[in-house]
Amino acid sequence: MEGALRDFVQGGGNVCDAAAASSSAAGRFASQFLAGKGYDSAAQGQQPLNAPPIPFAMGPNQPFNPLNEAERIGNAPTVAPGSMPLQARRAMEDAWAGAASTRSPAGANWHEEFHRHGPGVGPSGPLQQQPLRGPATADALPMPVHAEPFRCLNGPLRGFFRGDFADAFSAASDGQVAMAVQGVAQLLGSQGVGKLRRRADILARQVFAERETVEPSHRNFVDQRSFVDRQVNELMSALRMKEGVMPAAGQQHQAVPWSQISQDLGRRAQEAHMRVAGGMGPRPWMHEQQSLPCQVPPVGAAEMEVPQNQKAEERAGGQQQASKNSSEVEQDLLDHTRALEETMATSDEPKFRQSKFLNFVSKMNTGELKIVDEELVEGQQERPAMMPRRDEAWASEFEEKLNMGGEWASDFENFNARPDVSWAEDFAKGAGPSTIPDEWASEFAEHYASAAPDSLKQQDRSYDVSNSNPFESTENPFELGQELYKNGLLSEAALAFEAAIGKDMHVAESWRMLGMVHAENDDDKQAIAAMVNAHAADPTNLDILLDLGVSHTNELETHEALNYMRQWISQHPEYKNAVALSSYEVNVAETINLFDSIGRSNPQDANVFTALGVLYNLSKEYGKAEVAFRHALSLQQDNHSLWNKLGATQANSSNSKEAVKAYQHALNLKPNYVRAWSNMGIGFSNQGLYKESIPYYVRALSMNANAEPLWGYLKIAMACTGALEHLHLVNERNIGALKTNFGL
Amino acid sequence: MAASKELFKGLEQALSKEGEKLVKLFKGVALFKIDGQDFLLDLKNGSGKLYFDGSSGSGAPKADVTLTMSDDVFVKLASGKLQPQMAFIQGKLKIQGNIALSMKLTPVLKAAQPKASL
Repeated sequence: MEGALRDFVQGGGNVCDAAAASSSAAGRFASQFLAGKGYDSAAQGQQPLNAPPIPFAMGPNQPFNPLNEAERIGNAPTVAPGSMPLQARRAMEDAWAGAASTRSPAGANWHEEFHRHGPGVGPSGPLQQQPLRGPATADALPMPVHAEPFRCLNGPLRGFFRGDFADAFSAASDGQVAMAVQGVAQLLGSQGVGKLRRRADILARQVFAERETVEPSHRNFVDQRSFVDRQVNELMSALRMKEGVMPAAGQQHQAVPWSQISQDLGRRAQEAHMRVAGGMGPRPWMHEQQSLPCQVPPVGAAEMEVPQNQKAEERAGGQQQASKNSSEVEQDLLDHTRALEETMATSDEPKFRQSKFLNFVSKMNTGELKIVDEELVEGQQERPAMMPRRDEAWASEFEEKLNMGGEWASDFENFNARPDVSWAEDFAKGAGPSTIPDEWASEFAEHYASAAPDSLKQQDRSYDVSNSNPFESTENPFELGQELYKNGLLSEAALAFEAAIGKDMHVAESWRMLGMVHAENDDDKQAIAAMVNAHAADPTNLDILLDLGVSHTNELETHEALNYMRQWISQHPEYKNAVALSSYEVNVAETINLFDSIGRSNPQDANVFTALGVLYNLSKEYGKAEVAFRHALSLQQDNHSLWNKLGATQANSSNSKEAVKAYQHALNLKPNYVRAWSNMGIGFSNQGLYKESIPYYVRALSMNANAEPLWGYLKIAMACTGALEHLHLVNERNIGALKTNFGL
Repeated sequence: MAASKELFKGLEQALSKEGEKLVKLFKGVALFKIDGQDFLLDLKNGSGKLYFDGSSGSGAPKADVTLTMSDDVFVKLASGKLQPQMAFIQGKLKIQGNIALSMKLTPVLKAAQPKASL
């Protein structure tokens, strides 16, 4: 397992492949996301021949893929989930058989892989029970343009992660599994975490996409999410083998997670056996790919030609062979799971220690759960009373598989007939931590810098307290500060609040006010520093979280902004239970979805729409941001900061003319709103109206000379208007002279 | 020239915030020759870098494209009032080297503009 995880993390396989297999937009997104990442596996030292003949990192111009197309056709809403018109599929397979002969090795391998992984043709898929349907839509399908999807997860755990654990990564309510697996990555060294998370995310998207084709009704994100939750929950209960959760024979669709998992574990066991008993030197992947097409007939074809009883024999034979070596396999598995359990149980992370995955692993260790042949079963010594029931379920499942055809059989045959033991190489490659490629380390560093910069960036984020504070001796600086703020004397108010903090008066509120004053004073750095302190003093204050999100957005610090916005949800008494927060999908789109769904059910909460508008600014969807802010404004017409936010949004979407109007609204409400003044100047500057912008900059600076960037903007504006004779005033920071020169 | 220098200083500020994004966007090194002064904009490595002493500076990379223009033309380019293509056609902008790269100039200059704060 360890080796597999490492492979998974290192990208021993290629995630691009997985994305390429998807016919959905999400899959394309994943491939775009990875586009340019290149073919990791080649960099991993595998044979260059392994690379497919045609690049598959697809952009929007995705090459036409007959399989995907047929799958799409097959999954038209009228067709049962996961099914495909048999005729279409047959035609498609014919095409692929041709492809396999002309385009081998990659094409054929693609084919084989597809059958192993495709959602509609999985071992438990109801495909074979579908009647013939419609004319062959696949007649017109051209030859495949690219090949080789889904070799994303190398190594023994490939399948284990492919199916429902991948869902678990992104499943909100069951973040524990993700915790567990992420923790396992610590086994591999901390570098793994970042990459694993990203890969898991991509993988999860892939699986989302697959499921989307399975259940066309689950197109909506939230529904999809809950669908995945359901799948994961099912999986978890199945792993614990509770009574009544065993998939019934008639419910193939629900049975998918369990049977897939068990089969994958079984395959893992076989691979382990191959390692023990194989004894052959490792051979590169290339050989495997070449050998596969000639030895393994396309599964679809096999299923049409091979009589049922023959397949049954194959399966029975396979079972015998597998059980012969079961003791070795068991021991091997046990070694792995014990190591896993040890690591997980000693982890510092409590979530991790209590995870269901750990539960599962320790059950494997104690013999409560076992992998026998292809099945995950409970150990007899632990719960003998359960066995008859198990047998029944098992029998029905056996029958089900029997009816379903020889996919398993040919799969197994392929495993035994295969002369090479490429997995051994895989394993060896991942065996030592020292084999982690440098490229990985640097990628991690990069990822870390962007994903968890709090500790790095916040070193210079301590709040700068003013040196001389005239309010130090004031009786009640907090009240004075509020008074000054109300009167629009922002810089003075800041000093008063600093004095209040010095006297330990209303610390949290003073920090919050201080942060707000700095934000209005157009100084986001100080605002963030103050708000961080406020947040530390009062971690549940929603206003602080929202303001932190806004300030970080202004500083273009996406990760922090999202983090605080999500905390806002998790601290909100009403909303925290309304949506599922996942700590593993911290991206803008997902966060927007959360706020969007909250906003739909709470259209009267201006804060939600404010947050939504800010988030749309992060994602640069300024049109939507404007709509959100306008909605918020309809609820709070006299909120000067909302008017400014609306203006800033319009300005950033190159609509500076409209923006100026919004700023004017803000300034009417709060004449000394420095941020609006400076935004006004920026708005004119960005239209090339430097001359018009200068007075606004000067006005803003006259109220807050500490707004550092403004000095630069003012300089640019002056230089661009040719007002060079005043440039020295800027360098001297002589506000008085500037004011008189520009008629203020 | 004074205006260009200030604009480049603004661009340098933008690099500190959005350098990586701009590097991904541009992927090249541009040398600006503005009224006799050289500004070398490296948007190929790391998070980008500006060399105010042009190509003579130590460790400065080789320029992929050289853009020669006057100060007021650069001001117009920077504020989006003039498109590089148009300036080129009008003969206000001379381009040597990778011309395709110069077409990506507009988004870079746009990204370097100050952003309004929410």
